[in-house]
Amino acid sequence: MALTPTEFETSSLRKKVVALLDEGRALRRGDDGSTATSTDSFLSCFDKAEVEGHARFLLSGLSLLKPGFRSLDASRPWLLFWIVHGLSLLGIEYEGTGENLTPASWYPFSPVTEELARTLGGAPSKTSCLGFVASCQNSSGGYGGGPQQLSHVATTYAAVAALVVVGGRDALEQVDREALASFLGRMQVKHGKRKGAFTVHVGGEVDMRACYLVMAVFRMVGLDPATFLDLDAMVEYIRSCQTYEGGFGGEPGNEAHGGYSYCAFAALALAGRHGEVDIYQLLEWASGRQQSVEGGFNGRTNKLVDSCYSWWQGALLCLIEEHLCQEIDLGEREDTVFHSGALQDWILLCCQLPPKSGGLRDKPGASPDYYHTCYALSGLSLCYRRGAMPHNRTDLLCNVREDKLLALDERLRREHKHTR
Amino acid sequence: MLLSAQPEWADVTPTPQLEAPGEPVVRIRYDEDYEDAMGLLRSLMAKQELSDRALHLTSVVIFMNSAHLTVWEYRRCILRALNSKARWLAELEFMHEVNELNTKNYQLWNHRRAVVEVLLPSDTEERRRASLLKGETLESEHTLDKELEHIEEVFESDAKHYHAWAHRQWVTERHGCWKRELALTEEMIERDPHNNSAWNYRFYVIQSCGVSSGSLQAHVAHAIGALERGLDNEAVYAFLLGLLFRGPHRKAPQEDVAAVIQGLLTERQGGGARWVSFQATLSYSLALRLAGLEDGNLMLWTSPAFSSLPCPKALAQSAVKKWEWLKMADGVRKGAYELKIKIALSTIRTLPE
Repeated sequence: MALTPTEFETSSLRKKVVALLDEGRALRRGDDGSTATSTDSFLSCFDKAEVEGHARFLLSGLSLLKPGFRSLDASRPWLLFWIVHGLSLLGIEYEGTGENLTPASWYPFSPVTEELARTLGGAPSKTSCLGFVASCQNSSGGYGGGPQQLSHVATTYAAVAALVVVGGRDALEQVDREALASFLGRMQVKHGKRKGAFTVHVGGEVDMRACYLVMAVFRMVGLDPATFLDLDAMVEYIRSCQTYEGGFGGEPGNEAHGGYSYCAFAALALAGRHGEVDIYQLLEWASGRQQSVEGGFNGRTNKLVDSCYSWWQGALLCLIEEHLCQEIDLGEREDTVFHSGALQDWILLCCQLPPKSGGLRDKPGASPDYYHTCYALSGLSLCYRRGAMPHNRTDLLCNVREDKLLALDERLRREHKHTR
Repeated sequence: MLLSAQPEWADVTPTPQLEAPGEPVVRIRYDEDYEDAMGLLRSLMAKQELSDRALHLTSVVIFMNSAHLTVWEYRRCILRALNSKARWLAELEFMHEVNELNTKNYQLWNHRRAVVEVLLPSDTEERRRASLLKGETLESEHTLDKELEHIEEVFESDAKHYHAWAHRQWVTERHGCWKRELALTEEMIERDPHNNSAWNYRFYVIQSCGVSSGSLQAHVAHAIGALERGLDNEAVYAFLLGLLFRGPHRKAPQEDVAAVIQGLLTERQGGGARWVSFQATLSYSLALRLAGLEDGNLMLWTSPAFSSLPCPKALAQSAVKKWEWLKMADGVRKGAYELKIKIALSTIRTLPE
């Protein structure tokens, strides 16, 4: 019987993947054979050369980017977020009041090589990063993709998240919170079929991403969304996007999709309303996304695996499990609800580029990029959440390091700016 | 020669991009052409010049960066100001060219909706605005059929194109043009029974148009037929469960639903993990409904048509048994099966014997 188009492309990919998994596992067995347990820090997945390779890859985009990057000219805050967040997961950050990127005090591979030290030395200062973000802010509120660009809820999220990651006392000082809240409130659709949903920018599209991006921004800047938004209407819209499969589409009726499903459930969780959708059916769909051969996740039924879904689907499953545990006594939970060993092997053995170039990629055959490096690392960190220190965990709802979010909350509360 | 050096642009002083002072951060080394065009465009946007030359300049930039949403939005402002039917019609060709460069682009598909709202008005307000457009009715009018055809052309190169399927849903919903839709999904499913986008759209059409007597069986038979091309097809199982529990069942005759479920609960020879998983979910979902724990206000589940089926407790227990087996047969999902078993066991404790 002839293969369907889906079977053909899936089997082609699986041939490559199985070869890499077999090779990687054989090499691993050749070492002392010890595999990291879940009590180890996430960085124990890697050796020093690998970590430095990924760090160098991320750093290569922090200052100047080749002309071909003009296709991302409306997404520069994203580039900054992917890079600094990825680095922060690897233990490289602007520490405390410092102006320079350095390995954190807990960085397990100190001292860094001379090569990395030189690269770190050439990276932009914290002030420069903050200055760049500020150049994207609009007086009408929110952040655009670059200077003199329309505010967009996605670049607003990326800008604010980058500020949280870059951290420090003054990180959020530049945010005009009043104008920001007003911008986000204006983006909510007030009438008609899509009431409750959000436009991503003036004249822009309306879809599930926006609900999440808006809620996550409110969370990070410490403002109560209930003051500025019609949360009931938002929840109704989100409910209408859950499909028969159990996941969520971008708009009502659209196919269940990993990115939109994460956005839907995380937006609800940020509003404290996760009980208002069919979580069981969501679990049904989300648990089907991890592939038995590859170990990674796909974004939709019968589509190919992609390392970025390690985050979107992985974090979604962690959120589902967290919520279900609150509802029902599920007893001792040994592992994540997804198969963390299989996910790790997929990411580490199939999606890492060797230290010479570094970076992580969508799948074998693809080139590494900052987006996939960020989300593959974020997804991988989920396998080591349980019992980890806040500086080794990323927040499930905002995808910034927990310690940085906690530090920010504390500062905002001290300054009486926290209204949640 | 750079644009800004051309006579046409002599009256415009380019506006530089206001990069933050200091070290470059994620700064793109723009090539001359792009930097030059953007410099001019910033000046035009600043004075809100909504002219033909401004329109042309947005084309130049969009071909260099089709994700530049600020420029797309400015383009729409210009089109609205020019208010010319011919200009809006020309957008079809422009978008076609952009699609050739990059089809997976939010801005392109968002723009397409704006264009369709003008060229194919569907409500009073849209028709009112269309009547105010300047210009003669042209030979190459855009039609609903042409719009649907365009979407199918996109499916030729990518049968699972997310934006295209979403766009089709948007078009059919606003125009109520359901005639061809079921047949389209049959063609797409025939081409590739694993195409979940097609199954999802099929569900959407059935849900929107309703299920008449006998058609539920027909839809189920069609789905089972697709399994002939491979039992390991998650899309089909999800679709079947959707038909039975997620909406279409509400309008189908009770005997039809009961008969279908009865048939599907029968063991199938040679079924792998997916078939077993499907039956487990089917049993458990049914158990909850027969026990009145889900879909409680639907009379269907109290129908005598279901009296020959096992009781809810037995159905739930059979699901648990299958999930226990699946923990080993489908190990990557062990954690999820454990969760489902725990949830089911706690539910079973509440069910009568």
